[in-house]
Amino acid sequence: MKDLSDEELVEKIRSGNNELYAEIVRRYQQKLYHYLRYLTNRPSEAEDLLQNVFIKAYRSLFGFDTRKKFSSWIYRIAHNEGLNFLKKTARKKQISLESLENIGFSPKSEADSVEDAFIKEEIRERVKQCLDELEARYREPLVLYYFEDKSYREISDILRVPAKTVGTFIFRGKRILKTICEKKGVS
Amino acid sequence: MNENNKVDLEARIMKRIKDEGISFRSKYIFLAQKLGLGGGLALSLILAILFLNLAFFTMKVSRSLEFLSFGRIGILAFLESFPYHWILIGLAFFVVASMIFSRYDISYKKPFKKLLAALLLLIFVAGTALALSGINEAIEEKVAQGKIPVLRPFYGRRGGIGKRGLVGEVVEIRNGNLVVESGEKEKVFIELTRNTLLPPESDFKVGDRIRVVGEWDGKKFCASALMLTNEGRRLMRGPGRGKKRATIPPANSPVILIS
Repeated sequence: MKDLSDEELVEKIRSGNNELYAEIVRRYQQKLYHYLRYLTNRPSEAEDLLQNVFIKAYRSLFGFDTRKKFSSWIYRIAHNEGLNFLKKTARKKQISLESLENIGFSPKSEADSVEDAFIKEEIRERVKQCLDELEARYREPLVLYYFEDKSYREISDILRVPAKTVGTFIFRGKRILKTICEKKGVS
Repeated sequence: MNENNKVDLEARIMKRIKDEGISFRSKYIFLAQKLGLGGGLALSLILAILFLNLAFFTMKVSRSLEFLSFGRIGILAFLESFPYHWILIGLAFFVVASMIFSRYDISYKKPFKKLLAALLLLIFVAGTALALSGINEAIEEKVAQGKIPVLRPFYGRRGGIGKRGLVGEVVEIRNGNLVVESGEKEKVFIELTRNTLLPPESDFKVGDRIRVVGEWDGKKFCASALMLTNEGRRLMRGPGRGKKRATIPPANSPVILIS
């Protein structure tokens, strides 16, 4: 069972092996929990949201196209669930991009260098406490890229924005995050 | 989330699925959604094309572009005769089509603005091709024969009378002025004065189709400029042969109104 890909697993679940869904939950609970926690910054709520995500995904399994990537599909459900939660709680703690200087940008390549991986790890540790103040549209791609190790293409599928826009959001998000961290005295 | 919580969550979710009897949504629901989306996109595109075609056809039959040949004084008449309503309805369907289109994966995988531009071009080309194909004339004829009454609001009116301009057939020439019948069988008295701009050596006879710009003065239409539009083949005519001709009346000539 562990050798099966997500997509193969879904095929089996859809054909009646409902118990196999536990394997899907096993594979994704940690990842999605982290994602939802960073996205909402509410660890206590993240678990409830996660349950909803898995139930919704289960109910909609026939809506998944097995030619596509399952992880992008389930992350998309988590993304929607997280955003709905944020809308409900109407968080106002957001920083506006307009207040920041206009920055030139050239999207970076998808290939991660060793240096990039190192930077990722460094950023992870430093920015956790500043993420909450970042506008959701910048926070999501940053979390998916630096915390969930998703590629631009996967993030593009999850957020349904062009891959180039993902790059832009990550770039701008980093600059805004830096400003926030500086204001908070996080080096 | 520690290891215990992981196992716990997994068990809780599977228990919820069992206890609450949670089942898959039918695959037919998803199929219906897919078909609905595709059908909606196709329908809104077709309607956008049809309404644009109707706009082109309306411009073609009313020859509203000809108002522009009067120069500056024809612009208002052109704008007035422009089929905004069909264009706006066509655009509304284009907006609906783009909204549906944005739900497809391709909308974020390819540059969306370029895709929309291509969609708009497709609508424009298809609308033009339809308008030129002659299908509208065939439909219009059937509508006139009362065969497709449901299409009467789209094809039943050729109009011809506006606030700044009109098109019609000369049915009477009276004291150097003209009586014109519009496409909807309305008769209008056209007053010609010394200031009315006419094509050089122009004269008019009963049966001529003319286009006039000017303004209304009560029930009569004071012509600022006038031209022949017979079958669109010629805008000006030389001297007539044997038929009664209209001549430009003196500035203070009496005017007879048609009731």
